[in-house]
Amino acid sequence: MIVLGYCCKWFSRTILPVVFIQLLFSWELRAQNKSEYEGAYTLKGDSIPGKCVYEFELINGDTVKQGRFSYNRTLSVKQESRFEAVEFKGDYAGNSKTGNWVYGLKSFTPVNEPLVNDYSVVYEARGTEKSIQAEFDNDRASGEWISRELKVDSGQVVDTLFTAKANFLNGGFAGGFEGGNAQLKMTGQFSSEGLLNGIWSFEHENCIEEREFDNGVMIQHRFKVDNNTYELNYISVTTEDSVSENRLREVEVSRDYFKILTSDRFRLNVNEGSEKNTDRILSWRQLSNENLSAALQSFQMESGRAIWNQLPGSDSIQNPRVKLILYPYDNQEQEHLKSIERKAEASLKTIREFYEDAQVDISRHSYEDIAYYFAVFKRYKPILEKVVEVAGKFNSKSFRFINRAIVFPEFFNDDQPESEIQFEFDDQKMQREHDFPDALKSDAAYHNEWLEFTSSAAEDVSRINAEVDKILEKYKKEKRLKEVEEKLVKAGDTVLALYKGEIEGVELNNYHKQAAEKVILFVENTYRNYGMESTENRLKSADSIMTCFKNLVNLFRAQDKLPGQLNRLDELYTRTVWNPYTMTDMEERLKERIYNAFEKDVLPGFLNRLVTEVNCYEVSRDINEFEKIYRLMVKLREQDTKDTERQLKKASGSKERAELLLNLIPNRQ
Amino acid sequence: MERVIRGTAVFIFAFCWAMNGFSQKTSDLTIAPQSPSSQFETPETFTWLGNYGTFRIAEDFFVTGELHIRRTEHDGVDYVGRQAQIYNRWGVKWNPNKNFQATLGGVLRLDFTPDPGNDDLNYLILEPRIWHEYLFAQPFARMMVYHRLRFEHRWSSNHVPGSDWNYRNRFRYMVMMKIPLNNTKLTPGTVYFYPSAELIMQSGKIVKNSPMEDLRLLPALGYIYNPRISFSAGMMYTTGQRVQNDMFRTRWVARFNTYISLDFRKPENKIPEVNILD
Repeated sequence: MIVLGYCCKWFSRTILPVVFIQLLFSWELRAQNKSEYEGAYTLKGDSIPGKCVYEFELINGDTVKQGRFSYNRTLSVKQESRFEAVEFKGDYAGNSKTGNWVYGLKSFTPVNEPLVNDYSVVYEARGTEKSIQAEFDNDRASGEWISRELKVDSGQVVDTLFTAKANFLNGGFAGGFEGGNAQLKMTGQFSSEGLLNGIWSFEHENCIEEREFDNGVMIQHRFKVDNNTYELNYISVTTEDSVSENRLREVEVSRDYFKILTSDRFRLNVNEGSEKNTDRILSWRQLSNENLSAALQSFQMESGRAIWNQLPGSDSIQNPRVKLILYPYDNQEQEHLKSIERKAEASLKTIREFYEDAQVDISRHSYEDIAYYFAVFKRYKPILEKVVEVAGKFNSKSFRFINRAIVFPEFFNDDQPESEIQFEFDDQKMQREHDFPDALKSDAAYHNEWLEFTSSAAEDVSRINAEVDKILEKYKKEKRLKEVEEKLVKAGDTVLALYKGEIEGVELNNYHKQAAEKVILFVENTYRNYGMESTENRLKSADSIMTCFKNLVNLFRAQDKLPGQLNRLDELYTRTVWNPYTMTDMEERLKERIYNAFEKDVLPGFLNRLVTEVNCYEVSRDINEFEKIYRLMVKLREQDTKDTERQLKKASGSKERAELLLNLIPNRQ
Repeated sequence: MERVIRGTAVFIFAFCWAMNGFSQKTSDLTIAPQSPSSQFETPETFTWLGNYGTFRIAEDFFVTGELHIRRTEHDGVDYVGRQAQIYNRWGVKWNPNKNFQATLGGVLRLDFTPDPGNDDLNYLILEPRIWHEYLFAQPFARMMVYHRLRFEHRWSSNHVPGSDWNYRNRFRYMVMMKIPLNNTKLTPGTVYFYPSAELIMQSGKIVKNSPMEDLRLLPALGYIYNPRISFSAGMMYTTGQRVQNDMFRTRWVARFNTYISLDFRKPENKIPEVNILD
């Protein structure tokens, strides 16, 4: 017992501490190998960080995600009063996604009254929840994936809007697929290479649509409605026995593929005696295309963003594919198609500008030709719009997989414009013939004829446009001339009325009277000469005559001011002195030499030009010059002018005195 | 013109009536009826040179200074034979508006001997006066008419040594016109016709039957050189009662006057002209 007691004592004092210390150290070692990060984390291509918790190891100084990973971010979209929450959950192994992963996107709007629960305020939500249950194997999609979209209202899931279930292998679709919603149920198979294979079934409400693929090549497309089977035989898409394998190309089942499918012409075969219902068939086809496209994309795309690539360590999921026949373009066809599109667009632009031109709209009531071309362009517009649209399609990538020569006539069926053009002009129905390009015919070199048609049409449009431009130019000239002449006559009549004293309240002074005869004669002669000119010359001379008439109106005003200005100078240069002997105010001239130089040497020249010898083209300069000398005289009255007066005294003649005074004008040219 | 003549006539009548009233109230001033023996003396001839100066010292006040040099016939030389008088007249003129002036001042008349070389007579005697006048101007479209009332209080003696000083009053009314001839207004460069008529009445101890001292009729021509200088010249006829006897003295007086008007105010006190267009 003593020994046992001793052993226990030894064990508790020696071994237990050692074991404890060993345990402690081993935990520390593990903790150093694997750590956990908890904090902000920003997804690739995003700018707003969310909350993230993940386990990682530091290997050679690098962070390597290892273990659990979870991320969530809630964003308030204030404009729409909703919240958007994104969630990722899964596991990493050596920075690669592995095992099961979950993606969720909730877009909720709070509804009803808030509920206070403990220390939280809770709202019920309305909106949608999208989720993906995924599986990865070393970053590659693998196993069964499920994509869902649920409708939520008042905090409860009320409907499943969409479900898709697919199997993946090595990052690509492989195996069974099913999906759909309340209106449509889709099932089908992918080959191990990701090609659509076998029968793909689309169960609509009243129809079962089946697309049968043979390792990617669609060999049949049928619709079972009631007891009838409708078969769509595509011209280009489906293959024929004769098509060699090397002409087949793999095409992703994406929007482009469906575009090819819908662009291709088809023949609808139907059981004998059944009603052809092409529209319904096409609407089912459209619904299937849209849902299949959405279902396939739902595993990896959200609002144009690759879902899984937002996190590190994901290979892109390889889209499923089909096989289509390639109809390569040769250089000439490509060149022709581009040229057709370009020419048609240019012509269409011309036609649109023609219709947008207000002048055209107005002048088609005045010019028969414009009205006629208006009607011709009406014929051209829809044809060229169609050419642009079809050429655009033919130039698109998807049309590489369409037998263009065969489908071409399907687009241009009976599009020969009628040569007989009926139009209205001057409240009368008119009729003319127009030589439109020949109708398009289909043959192997469809693009040659198409180009020829488009080029002819473009030339015709261009020629008409040039013709219209000429007419409009003439119209514009006449209109402008009319406007200008209205103003011209108004200005000229104003001059005549002024100088004839016909304007009430305007009295003629002596200067007006002196100039009147000459001015009136000038205006009347101008009218007569102008009237004898051609339209072109009238347009050329109208502006200068207008300027001339305006100058004459200004001259009238200047002459109107003239007595006042001369009186003002007279007053300025006159001093009034009280004479106590005569008991009268006596006036005497101040700065007599300056005033005399103005009155006797400068003023007569101006009066000659402003009153006697009126030259309407130079009168503006003379008025301006007189204003300057007038202002100078006003200024000189207050200035020390002894030097000038001395020079004036010494000056030998009138011309010299005038120059002396005029040279005092600042900046005189 | 008719209005001017009628107005002038009314004024002369009123003035004479007033003077008549004045003389009646003065005990020693009576107007005797015209003596049948009264007759006109042979006209004497004079030359009067007058220099009139008016100097503005304030907005409404002027200082006037006149110098008159008067010569008369002597020793066979008409008009300028001997020195007759030299007048030195000064005063302060009040000119409150364009139609009225009043002046108050003094005169010192230097009276030269009528008989040069006669030692019994004083060569030069002085006659001081106090004078005040009231001038009314009537502007017309093309002329000016003036009415002047001048009153003088004079102390005079004669050349006989030891003569007594006599005090007399003079009551003068003059109507005159200035009619521009080559212009419509009295402005520089204007020649004007300058007719005037002045009646001078007097009173005093020595004035017995001779109240009408002088009646002066002067047609003259004037010329305005500039607002400060003008001239006039004319031949004046005067007649008036002599104090010593009943004779009427008559004179022909050649008159030459210059008129000078200067403004002595400081430039800043001169009212600037108003330019309405400024």
